Amino acid sequence: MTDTAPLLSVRNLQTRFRTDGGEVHAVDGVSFDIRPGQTVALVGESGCGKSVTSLSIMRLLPARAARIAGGEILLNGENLATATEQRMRRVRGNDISMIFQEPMTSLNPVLTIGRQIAETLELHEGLTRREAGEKAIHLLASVQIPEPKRRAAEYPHELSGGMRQRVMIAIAIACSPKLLIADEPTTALDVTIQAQILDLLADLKERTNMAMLFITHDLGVVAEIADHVVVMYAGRKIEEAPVADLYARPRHPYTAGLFGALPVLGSSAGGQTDRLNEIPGSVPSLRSPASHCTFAPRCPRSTDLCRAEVPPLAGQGAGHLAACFHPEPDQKGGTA
Amino acid sequence: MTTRDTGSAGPEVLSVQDLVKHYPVRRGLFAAPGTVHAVDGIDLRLMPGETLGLVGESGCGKSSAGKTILGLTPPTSGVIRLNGRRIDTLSRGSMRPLRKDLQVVFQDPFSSLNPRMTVGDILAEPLRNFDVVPASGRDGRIAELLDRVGLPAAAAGRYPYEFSGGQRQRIGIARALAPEPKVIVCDESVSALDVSVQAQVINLLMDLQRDFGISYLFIAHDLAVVEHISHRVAVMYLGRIVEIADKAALYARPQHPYTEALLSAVPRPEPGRARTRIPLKGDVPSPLNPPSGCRFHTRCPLAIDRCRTEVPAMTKLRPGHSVACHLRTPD
Repeated sequence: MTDTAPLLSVRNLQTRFRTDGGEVHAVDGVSFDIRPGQTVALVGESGCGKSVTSLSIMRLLPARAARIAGGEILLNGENLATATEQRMRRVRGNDISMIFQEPMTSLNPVLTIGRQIAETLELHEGLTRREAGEKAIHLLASVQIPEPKRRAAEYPHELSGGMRQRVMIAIAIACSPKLLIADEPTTALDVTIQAQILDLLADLKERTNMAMLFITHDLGVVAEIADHVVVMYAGRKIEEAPVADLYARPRHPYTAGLFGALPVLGSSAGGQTDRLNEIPGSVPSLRSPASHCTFAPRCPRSTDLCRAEVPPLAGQGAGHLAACFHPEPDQKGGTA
Repeated sequence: MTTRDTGSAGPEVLSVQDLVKHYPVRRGLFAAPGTVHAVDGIDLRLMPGETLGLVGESGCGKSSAGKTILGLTPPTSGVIRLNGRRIDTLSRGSMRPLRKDLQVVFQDPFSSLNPRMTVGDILAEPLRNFDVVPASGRDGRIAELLDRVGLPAAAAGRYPYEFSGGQRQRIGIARALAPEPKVIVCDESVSALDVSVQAQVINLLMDLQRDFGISYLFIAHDLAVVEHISHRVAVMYLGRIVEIADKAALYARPQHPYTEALLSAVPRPEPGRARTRIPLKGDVPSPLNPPSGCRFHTRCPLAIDRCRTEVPAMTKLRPGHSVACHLRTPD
C-alpha cells in the first residue's frame, strides 16, 4: 500500500493564530501522507494542533483569526493551501468531507434529515429534488439506520446521539468523497454506540476504498481503526509509524509516556494494580516557534542538547519516524 | 419509612437502601406530565478506605444517584446513612455539620470553583465552616493542603483561571480534603482531563486514600479508569444496578449480559487484537418510560419471555458477586 501515490500529502504545514499576545504557532511544520484506502490517525492531547491541522486541510479556519503561514496541502498534486475559496467549495463535499464530535451543532434543526442529505446531493451532484430524496433514503439505509424512509421525515432533535452521527456520516459520504476527515467522531458517544459507529466506518472504508484522517485522543480507538499513526505534541509531529509498530515500540518518550499513563482494561487480572506513569507538568504555550525540544521540560530522558536544539525527525525502522535525540530503547531487541 | 432509622447499621461508612429518585417532567404544552425514573431502587455499601466504582452509560442514573446521596437533591424514597446515621431525612441545618464527612469533586473544576475567590479563600471556606483548625492555624493548613495535592504554597494567592485544567482539579480535591472527610463522591472527576494529566490525578486520589483512609464513591463512564481505581464496581443500567462485584471478578468474569456487552465494546490499545464484541442493537430506551421486567430485555441477546414481565432480583452468585439476571443462578 505504501507504494501507491499519496491521495493527500501535507508538507511542512504552518498554521498560526493571531492573538493579543502575538501569533500562536498552532501547527508548526507538520507533514504526513494519506494513500487511497488508508486510515491515518492524528493523535495527541488537547491543544496539540490535531484539529487545527484538519481544519487547515478543509480551509475552514476563521479567516480573521488564523492563517496558513507556510507549507503545502497537496490533494492529488493540487495545492489546497493556495486554492481559491470558489475551488474549495467544490473540493469540500466532493473530494473531502468532514464529520465532527457533536453532530447536533452540525445539523440544521429546522430541516428534516432527509432534506439535509438531499440538499447536498442537489448541490454537488445536480440531482433533481425527487432523485435526491430517493438517494437520501438509500444513504440512510447504508449507514444502517432502521426504517430509513420514516427516519428521513424526522428532525435532528428526534434522533439519539448515535443516530445523529450516522446521519452526519450519510451526508459526508453522499458524494463519494475520496477522503473523510473524522474529528473525534465518537468522543461524545457512549461506549456501546461508539462501537457501532467504529464498525460502520470500518465497513464503509472496506466497501468504498475511501481514505480516512481520524483525529482522536483515544489510543484504544486508534488501535481499532488506524493503519498509520501520527503523534502530535505542542503543534509538531513528534512521531509517526504503522499502528502495530507504534504500539509495540514507541520511540518518542512522549508517546511511551502516554501509553504508560493509560489505564488499561483487564489491569486487575494480575491482582496487583500498577501505579500509572505520570508525565509531569503540562503542555507548553505555543507563543514562539520551537527553538528546542518542546517536550524536554517534561521528559525523563532530556539532556542539555534537547534544551538547545530542535530534534529532527529520524528513521526508526520501516515507516517509523521520531523527533528525539534520545529515543526509547527498542524493547524488541532490533535497532533503528 | 423503616424501623431501622436510628443507630448504627454495620461497619460501612456510607450505605444506601432502595434509593429512588424520580423527576417529574412535562413533555410538551398539552402532553401529560411524565416521570423520569433516574434512580429506581439501588442499594450500595461503602466501607472505610474503600473505592466503589459506579459505572454506566449516559442517562443510567449514576450522577443522579451521586447527587441524591450528597443531598443536593432530595430522594423520592429510600434510606441514606453516613457513619450509620440516617441523613436523607435531615433538614439542611442539621445536615450541615455532617457534611464535613461527605465531600464531592465534580467533573468540571472550572465551573465548580468561584472565579472571584483566590485559591486561599476557596480552601479557607471549608476550614472556617467546619471549624477544622483555629483561625490562627488556617494559613498553615492551606499551605499543607496545597502541598498535599502537589501545588506550590504560592498558589493560595492566585485565582482559578491562572491554573490549567489538571491544576484546577487539584484545587477541587484540596477543597474536598480540607474538612478531613470520611467519604468523597467523585463525579466524573477525571473525565475531562487529558491522559497524561488524568494519570497524575488518579495517582493523587489513590495516594490520599492510602494516607488518610478516605472512601470514594467513584462515578465514571470510563471502564478502564474505574477498574484501575476501584476495589468494587457496580454497573447501572436505566436506573438500576444490574451487577456489583469485586473488580477482579467483574472484569474477568462479568455475569450480567449488559456488563459483558459493555466491556466487550471498550476499544483496547492493542492493534490487531481480534474483536469479540457483543453487539447491542439500538439505543438505550427512555427513562421516561422504562421497559417492563428486566430493563435490559429490549437489547439483551439472551432475553427470554420471563425477562419481559418479571423484574430480576439482585442475587448473590458467590461471596462478593451479585447480579440481577434471570439467567444467572448461584454456583
